[in-house]
Amino acid sequence: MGGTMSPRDKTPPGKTTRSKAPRVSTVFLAAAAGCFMLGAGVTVADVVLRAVAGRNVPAAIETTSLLIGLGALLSIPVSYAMRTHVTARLLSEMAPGRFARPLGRFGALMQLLFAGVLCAIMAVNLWQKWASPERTPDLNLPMPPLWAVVALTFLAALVAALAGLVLEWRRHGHDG
Amino acid sequence: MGSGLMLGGVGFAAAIAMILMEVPVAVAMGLVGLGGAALVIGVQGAEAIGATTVWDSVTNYTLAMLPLFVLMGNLAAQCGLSSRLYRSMSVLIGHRRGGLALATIGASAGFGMISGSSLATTATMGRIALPEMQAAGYSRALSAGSIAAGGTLGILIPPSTVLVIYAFIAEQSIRALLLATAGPIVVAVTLYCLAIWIPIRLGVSDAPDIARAARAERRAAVKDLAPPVGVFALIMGGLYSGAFTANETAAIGAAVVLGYGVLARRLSWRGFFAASMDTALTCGALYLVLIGANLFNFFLALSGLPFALTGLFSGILGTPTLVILLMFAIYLFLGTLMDSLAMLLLTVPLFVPIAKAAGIDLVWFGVFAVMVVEMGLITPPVGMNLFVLKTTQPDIRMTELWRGVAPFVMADVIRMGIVIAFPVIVTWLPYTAF
Amino acid sequence: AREMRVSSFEPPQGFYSAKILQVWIDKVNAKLSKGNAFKLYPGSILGAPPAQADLVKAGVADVALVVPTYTPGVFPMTGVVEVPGLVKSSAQGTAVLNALQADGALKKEYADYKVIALFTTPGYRFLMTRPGLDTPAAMKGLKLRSPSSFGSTLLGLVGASGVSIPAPQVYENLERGVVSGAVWVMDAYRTFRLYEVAPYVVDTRVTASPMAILMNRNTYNALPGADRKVIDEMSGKAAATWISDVVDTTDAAIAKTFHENPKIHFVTLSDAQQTAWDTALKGASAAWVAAQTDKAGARKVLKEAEQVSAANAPK
Ligand code: NA
Ligand code: NA
Repeated sequence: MGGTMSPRDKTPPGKTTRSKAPRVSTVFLAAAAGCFMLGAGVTVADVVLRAVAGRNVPAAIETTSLLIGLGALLSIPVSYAMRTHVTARLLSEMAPGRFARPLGRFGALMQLLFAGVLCAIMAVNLWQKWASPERTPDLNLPMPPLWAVVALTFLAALVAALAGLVLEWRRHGHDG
Repeated sequence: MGSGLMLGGVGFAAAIAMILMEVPVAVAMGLVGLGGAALVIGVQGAEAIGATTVWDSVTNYTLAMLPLFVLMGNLAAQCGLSSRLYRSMSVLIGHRRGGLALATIGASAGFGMISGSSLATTATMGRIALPEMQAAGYSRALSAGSIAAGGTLGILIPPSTVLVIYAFIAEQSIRALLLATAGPIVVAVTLYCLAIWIPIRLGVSDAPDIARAARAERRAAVKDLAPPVGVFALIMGGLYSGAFTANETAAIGAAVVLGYGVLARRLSWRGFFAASMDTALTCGALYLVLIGANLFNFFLALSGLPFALTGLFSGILGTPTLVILLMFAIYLFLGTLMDSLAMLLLTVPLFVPIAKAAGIDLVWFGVFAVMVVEMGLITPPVGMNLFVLKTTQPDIRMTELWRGVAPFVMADVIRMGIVIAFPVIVTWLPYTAF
Repeated sequence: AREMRVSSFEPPQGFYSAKILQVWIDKVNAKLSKGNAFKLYPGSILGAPPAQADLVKAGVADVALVVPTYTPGVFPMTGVVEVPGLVKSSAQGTAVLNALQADGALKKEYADYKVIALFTTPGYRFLMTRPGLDTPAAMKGLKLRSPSSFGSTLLGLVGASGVSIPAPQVYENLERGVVSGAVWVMDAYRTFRLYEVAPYVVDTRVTASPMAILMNRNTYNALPGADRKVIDEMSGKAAATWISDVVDTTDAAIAKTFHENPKIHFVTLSDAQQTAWDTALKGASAAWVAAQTDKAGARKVLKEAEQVSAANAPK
């Protein structure tokens, strides 16, 4: 998940330059957006069907929640790779020459640590509950494969955080 | 208990220190949350918390509307709905100094009528208003400040998820609570307008001076208002006629805007793709912050810090004003780091019995709690509305955001003073009119 | 010496938090050795309702109120009390679960826990937004808030469809007509103020939900013998019976106040209506068995449950 795009590039307000995102990220983002659209579609279908035919889409709420959750998960690795996190850049805004570089690297390291911890937690969770008979209440989907999806996206997030760290290290002192 | 309390305080300080050292907010709160939880309940417990928190955060049905509102805002921007809205307003009221900032407060209040969440209101208005205000020559501090502050109206104006949750915890009538917000909403909007207008008058805030447009241009502007106002009216009509729930509004809103874009031929494939990608990119950062905040809130609950704070009230129950002021102080303290919903869930069960014992009206208290919790959304260092704005526009500076919201925070403090001094502003409508 | 966390997904003023868990905590704490004490963490502070069982297992909570049907598949046999006709009152359902527990039929599903108490809600009523919805025939095409996965199966048998809605959002969904009613208990009717939007209460009692108070095994084992004994005395069948007493008494009291409220309309089923419901739901027990992985075990459990239920029918 490499790339040269920095979230701190000057972007004209509101205009999208983010489609310049590297290819792997684009795939993740497109998949995430697809999930959001499907989630919205299920809800809209439910409302329309209810208004027109007095019926409902079975398990609409659970389907919407799961689809949007999957979209959120898929967008998280991109957020790591491109370092689009919310950060309070107080010190580096006041004295960019002194602070931007060391703090940027420290932040990237901490981000890697967090990604590692979450990935480990998801892996352990999956390992412990692999044989669990638990299912989702409405769709009756088995939970272990769903936990596996979560663990996989956090593995991707770990790789992405590593890429983010490499990018941060290579970056020169100036802060945009 | 004592050591847990100590741990809560240390964790609080550690998170703030990491945030000041420019560790991403989600990472700082998440690491402190998990580490602190491991100290209180062991590594295995922290693991369980991590796993359940991630799952609950991403599959939460109420949060599910956030990406959809962001999508709606992005689509509206790509269809040119938002630029039309702001260009028209610029023509109609732009010649008044700060006119667009005032319009943003008004538009946020309007959006608050279809959204039950402050984060969603801020995310959407950030997409719609921020670029347009800057294009019109407004400073980033003033534009961002008015959007972040306007966003807090999202939970004060019905529908409001936070108020509904308060109603359940405190066992108060939802109808009475909703009616009770009317007075404070008027006060809030008025004070926000003053918070825009006074700094401009004093010359400490930048707003462009625009000449009044010609009559023909104004007439065209009114006509141009029709599409955005029509789309909004359609969504609001559906919500208030009961065709769909507040939770479904976001999906319907995105669909209506998409439908407008396609039918009016204002949305290209390229624009649709850009809106989708932008939505996903914003949501990645947003969900990480939510996960981090939830982990931190979990740790804070385990540490016993909020429980211990309630011990402070035992001696002053006879003086309701003191009780209220102390709660106000505690909310401001917790609000520096906590998310609004978590704060409400944690404190309301503790504070409601205290308020009851001190003879404070619980409908009034609900509105009070929602207002102070909502203040936490724009107070540094962790103000979720500020973060949402920063995810929608990463190049905005934190210092600009803080400078921008300062007058609005002052307006909020004054509003709290007014509502405490004249509780009738809250209680008149629910108790007298119904 | 340590403080043990008791988790409740309900707010502190909620029925199970205030009337069951807090009372249990106070009674036990009075007898525990110095320094050991339980403390209530209400309002889902420690996690969402479906996560409660996991939280106890992992030691995040030492004790928790668990609704077994929130995690389908994890406590399969406990779900037998959802089968229509088995549970009209909490006392009846609690007798069923404790008999099954005594026979070892539930041993596997609670192997990871120290069971403090197994009990059930009273039979569920239909809380409706419109009048006249009191027969199975009237259910056709309706959308109702369902308590669980099997609850939706039941509604399907009478031609209605079950919609799962998180508890705090039921009010709004009733108000907006997303659902025409909710299948739920009186204490939720009061807590969530559903009477403001669903003033018709139909006393069907066709199903009920199992409930459990579970304790972390390691926490229990690490306690000194005297403290374990205190907890043993306050758990098992005796504790469950006490709880079901409180549950039934409160349910009756709430029902009575709503009975006396002229704005709330109670419908008690006539014999003919009761027969109609029984007939309509005849296939339910077979459907329950069919949904289980261990069908032979499920049949056995169902048979025993039917016997115990018949022996404990409320007068
Ligand atoms: Na609102
Ligand atoms: Na804050």
